[in-house]
Amino acid sequence: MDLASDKHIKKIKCKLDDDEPRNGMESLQPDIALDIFSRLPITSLLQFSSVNRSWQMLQYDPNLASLHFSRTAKNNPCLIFHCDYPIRNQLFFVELSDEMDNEIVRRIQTPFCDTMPEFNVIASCNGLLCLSDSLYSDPLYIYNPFTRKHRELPKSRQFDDQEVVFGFGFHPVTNEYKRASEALVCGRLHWLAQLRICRGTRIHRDVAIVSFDLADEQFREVPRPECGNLIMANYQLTVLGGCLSAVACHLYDRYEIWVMEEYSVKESWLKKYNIKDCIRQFMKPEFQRPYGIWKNVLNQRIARVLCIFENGNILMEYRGGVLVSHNPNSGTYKKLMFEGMPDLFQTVVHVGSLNWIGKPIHSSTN
Amino acid sequence: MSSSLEKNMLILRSSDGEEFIVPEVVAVMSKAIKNMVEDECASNTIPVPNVDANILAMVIEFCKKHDESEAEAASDLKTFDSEFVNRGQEALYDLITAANFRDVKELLDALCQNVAEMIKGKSVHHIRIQFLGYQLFEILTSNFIWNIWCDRDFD
Repeated sequence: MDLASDKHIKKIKCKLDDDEPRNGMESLQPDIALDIFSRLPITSLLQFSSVNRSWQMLQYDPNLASLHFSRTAKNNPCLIFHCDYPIRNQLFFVELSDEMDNEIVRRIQTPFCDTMPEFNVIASCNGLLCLSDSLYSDPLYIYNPFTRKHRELPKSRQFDDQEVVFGFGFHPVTNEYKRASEALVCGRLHWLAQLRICRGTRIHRDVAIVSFDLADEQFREVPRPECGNLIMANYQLTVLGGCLSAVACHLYDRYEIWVMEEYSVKESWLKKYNIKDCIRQFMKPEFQRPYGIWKNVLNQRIARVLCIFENGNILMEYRGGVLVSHNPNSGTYKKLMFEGMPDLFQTVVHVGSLNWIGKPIHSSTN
Repeated sequence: MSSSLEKNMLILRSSDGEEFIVPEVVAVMSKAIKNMVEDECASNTIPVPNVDANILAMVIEFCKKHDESEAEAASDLKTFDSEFVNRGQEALYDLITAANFRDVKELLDALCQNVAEMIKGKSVHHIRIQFLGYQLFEILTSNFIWNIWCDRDFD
């Protein structure tokens, strides 16, 4: 940036002449400065740590990390794009403003890329990502993509022929992170499980929602919505507005979004959205059959629901990395394009935060 | 004077001695004043030290609007807030100090959000000059030192 421009120098000269009070923002009380900083996007926050020493020190204030997280979690999220194409795995991110214009996608450095060139993003929780080696499942890393702090986790495989499934979450009561990929609500991770029920000679298939409590490490069954008998491939669990939600895909292009407004109460499952003509036009033709990172994510479905924006629009991702914002009121769809967006990617909804595992933040929003 | 004062009215005296007659409901939007009124340690005239008449008038204007418009549409109030906080830096910092000191939560919230909007997306140099009043000499030295230590830019 050209900062030694004439304009700036003139301004500085004027300042010298005026002899006006020089402190400006620094005259504010520390708790006010903290309040102001907590309202900034994570990239501004980190960039401003190079303004001077006192601004840099603010970054290490645990109160700032938790206040910042509680504010940011209410805004539009930050989207992280995971690319496994062409050769190396890469991460990109975009911060979404209210207007969603002029957004620029930027690359995130991956300090662990030498030990783990190809990875899976297991989940994002409280501003932290959990990543695993895509071939061997080990190593596993916890990574804050903005502060670039990362830590390798203990080995997860005990036996050679063992298959390990990962999830990642944080329990607000015990203040612990556990890796146990699925929806995290009320300190519990949620999966879909396939049930086989024998009725006479016929085998009946059904889907159940199973939870894993991060505090007592117990598995439990959670009541599922009354959305008809579906095979697992047509189901997706997600978290919308802090509630466990199930996306049921009927006939490939009709989506129902069910939200469990009161946790673990079967009657509170409510069909909130019905997305009818979920258009195939957004799908990339080469992704008729999913491959790469897409193989396991969608199964038969052509799209998945990522999150709900502040304005009530639903963010959906089509196979291969096509982002579409759906307005449930008008029934319209808009393809989202950002400058510098990679070609093929998979999106992770993330909250940009200063958080780190040593001093977990208390989030009241989830 | 206080005898002629209507009921439920208070007099606020700024640091430079100017007096403002304000309805009590408006004055108690400042938690500090509310506490004084509740503890009954306030006479009809409440001194507001550290806040001059100019700033006090602005704070009262804000509180009055927020008191009146409780029933009004939230969007109207939002427009008023964004126009209200759109001021020069000096006035902003004085207002923040007053709002913080007098504990006027809504005002402090609107002001902090405004400063955050102002600095969001600005360059570090811009911040140093515009918001911290750095001099050229400081810019050069601090740049030199901080450029060595910091490599915060994203690719």
